[in-house]
Amino acid sequence: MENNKLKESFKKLEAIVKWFDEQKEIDVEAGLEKVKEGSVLIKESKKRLKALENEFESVKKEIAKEI
Amino acid sequence: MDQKLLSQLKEWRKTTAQKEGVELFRVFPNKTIESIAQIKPQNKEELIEIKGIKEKKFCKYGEDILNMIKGNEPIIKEEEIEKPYTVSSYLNLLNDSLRQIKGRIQGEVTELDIRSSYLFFSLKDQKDESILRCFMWRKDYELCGISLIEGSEIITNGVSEIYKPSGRLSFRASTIELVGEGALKKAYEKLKEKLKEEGLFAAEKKKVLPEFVQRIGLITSSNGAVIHDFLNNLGKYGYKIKFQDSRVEGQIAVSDLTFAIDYFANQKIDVLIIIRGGGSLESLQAFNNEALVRKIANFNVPVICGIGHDKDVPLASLCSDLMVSTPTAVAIVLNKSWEQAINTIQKLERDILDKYQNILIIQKHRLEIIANDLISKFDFIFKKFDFIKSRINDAFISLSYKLEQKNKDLDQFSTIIFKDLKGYFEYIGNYLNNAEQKLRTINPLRQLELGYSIVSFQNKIVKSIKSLKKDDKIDVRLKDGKLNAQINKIIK
Repeated sequence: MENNKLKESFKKLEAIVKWFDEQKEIDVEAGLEKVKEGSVLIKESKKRLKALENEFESVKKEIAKEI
Repeated sequence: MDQKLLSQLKEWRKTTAQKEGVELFRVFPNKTIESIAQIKPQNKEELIEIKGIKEKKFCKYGEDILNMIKGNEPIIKEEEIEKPYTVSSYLNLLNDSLRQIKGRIQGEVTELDIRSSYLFFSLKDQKDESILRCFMWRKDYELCGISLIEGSEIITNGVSEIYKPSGRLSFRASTIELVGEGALKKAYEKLKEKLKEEGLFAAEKKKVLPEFVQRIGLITSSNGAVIHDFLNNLGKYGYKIKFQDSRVEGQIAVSDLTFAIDYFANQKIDVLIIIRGGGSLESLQAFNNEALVRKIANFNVPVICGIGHDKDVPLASLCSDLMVSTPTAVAIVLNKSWEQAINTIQKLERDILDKYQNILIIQKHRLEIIANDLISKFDFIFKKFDFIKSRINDAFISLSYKLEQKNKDLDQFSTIIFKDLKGYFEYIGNYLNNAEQKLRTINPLRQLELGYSIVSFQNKIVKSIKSLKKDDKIDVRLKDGKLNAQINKIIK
């Protein structure tokens, strides 16, 4: 997942939450689809965040080495 | 290299050149002489291997050289001893010797004659009024940055020579300088005022130093502590230093400094540094030389002067883009931007790392919130579903209760019905039995069996004779069949 994809994922996730908020009568099937979509996005985002965190830690170490 | 042989060869060359009335290099250039002293050829073949010695030169000088190499004195032919010098070669011999005697002479200027490309003047000894005639090239004079007037007390550097066309001895002045603090101070103040009026010291004329200096042009003397002070204080920031050794003391330094500045004008440098230790106005006078000061003012890259001084700031420093009073201070100025940069980088590094770490934490937190939100939304769906389910369940329970009730009602009803029905059936049965009994009793067919008959006319049972007349055709039903008859007579 690219960096901007993470941003996109957040947008999509927020749209899903908004969708739930806007429903007066929740269509359970449509809701489940949204939750499924949301869980995939959350999983991917968590993975990406972890990767970014790892990358960041290694950059931090590199900087510490250079100075 | 055999130094002894080298000096012997040089001495021989000098004598030979003088005798022949030619320049030294016409006998042998320095390089050839040095090669001989280095290789020390033992025979003709080895000697002519050396660059600059061919058959002709060997014939002329070969024998002498090989003798010298073997440790013998060069053979001096008898006729040569007796051969007289020519006027010219003798004057050359004298001039060669005179050139070795460098002079720094003080005297009063008289008989000043300034021409377009050179000038003549005489120096008069104040005590016994001895006279030394002097010659100076105009460009050297201008480089000195002072104006000669008759009566000025000056010091000049140079060598003497005999001018061959006239046979007169003249002193070839290379530099001149005014004598005494008073005169120097006067000249200094005058030039300072002039340059100031021209705006050469103006702040707006100063070039801004590049932020991160890397390529440094350095002008100073390779002797003394100044260069070491400068280099020792210069940080390790990857500086690339190009160095031009220059004398820095007295008027004589002007030509070195000028040469060095001109050299750096064509070099790729970020900044030009001119440094020397402190000194009196006299020792610093090169740095108050007008031509030099103008070169510094118009130099194409920023110039930093780190020239120590007492009261009077050297004009070179005033014209430079940045002046400090010691070479160490120059090094500190150069280091400053690098040190600041390192501090800034360290601060930025901390800032960037902290900020990014915060972003990661915020994003993680945001993701957790969204995930929890979604979970709660989904839970809500299921709760709602559970609610609906429980309502349906309730409805089923209530329905089944009602059904049971109905069943019970039905059972009750059927019991009632069956109970009533039984009576009813019994009643009906009895009724039917009675009726059957009655029917049986009243059945006309039973009457027929008793011998009665049924008369019908036109399908209607005849109950009275009044409904018949004579000749009517009637049907008569008997127990076992029918018969047709015709009325003959009606009897009342």
